[in-house]
Amino acid sequence: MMNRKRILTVAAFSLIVLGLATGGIAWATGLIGSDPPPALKNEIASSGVTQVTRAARSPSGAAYVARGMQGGQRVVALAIGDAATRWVPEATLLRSSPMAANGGAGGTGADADWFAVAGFVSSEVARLVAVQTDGSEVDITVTDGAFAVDLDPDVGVTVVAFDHAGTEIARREFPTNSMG
Amino acid sequence: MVKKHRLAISLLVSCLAMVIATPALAAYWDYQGNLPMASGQRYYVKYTNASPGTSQSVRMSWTVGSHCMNFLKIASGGGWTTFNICGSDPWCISYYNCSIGILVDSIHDKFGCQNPPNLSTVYVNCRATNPL
Repeated sequence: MMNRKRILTVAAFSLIVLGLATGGIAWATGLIGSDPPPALKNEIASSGVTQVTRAARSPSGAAYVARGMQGGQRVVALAIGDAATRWVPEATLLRSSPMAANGGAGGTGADADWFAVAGFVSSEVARLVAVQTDGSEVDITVTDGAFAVDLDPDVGVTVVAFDHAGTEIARREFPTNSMG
Repeated sequence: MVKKHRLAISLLVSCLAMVIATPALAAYWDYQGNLPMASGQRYYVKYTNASPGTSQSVRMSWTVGSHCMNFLKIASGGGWTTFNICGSDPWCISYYNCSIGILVDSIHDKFGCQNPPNLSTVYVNCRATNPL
């Protein structure tokens, strides 16, 4: 009986240590970012935007989309990696296109180690797909008009938006990610 | 005679204004020229003038109608990050004139503008100095 208790205690302790270690490695390697990311925090501080909420976040945390309030109107911004956009009124965001998408990449050598895309789509968009140059397709989840996704850094990507009839209504091509 | 005199003074003032304004305008940008450069280097970067933990503002305007470009950070350890931007993106100040804030980790970080690999040469104006 005593042995079983000891075993359970050791097992529980080991799981806690493992969890902390995994989290630490993920944090140290930048897989888990703060919420919102530091670059966006700086934009929040300098712009006076309030009531900031997360609209979308990619699993790695590399791409992040936010909404907030500024001067009585709803504003939006996004962050990818260490970069963050300025705040823009949501009412004017999709005036010229049903999709606003930006991508970012990063690495330590010539080739990228990560690549992420984030943005917004209008209510016209029923399906959003990342078509990769290797022929594969990744369906992108849109939540309340916002999206953030991690993609393969080794291939080029075109994000394509389709309307409810299945017609393509917007696209954004991202070049192969490398340093040169 | 008086009219001629006034015209000459106006011309003189205009020329003086041009002479004063031209260098001031040129000095605003940290880099003006083609990317890739004649050396083949596809980017321009310079050391940050912002403190670690704050954001470095980077602004780029480039040839209207050309392809999308990248904002670039090269960290002190050699790691790099890019942010792809197109001239008509809603985040831009105006058409093909865009800016962004990038987190500074170290005073040795460099920031600037990049023409993505395998794309045609573009004339850019790039500034990586706070304030914009």
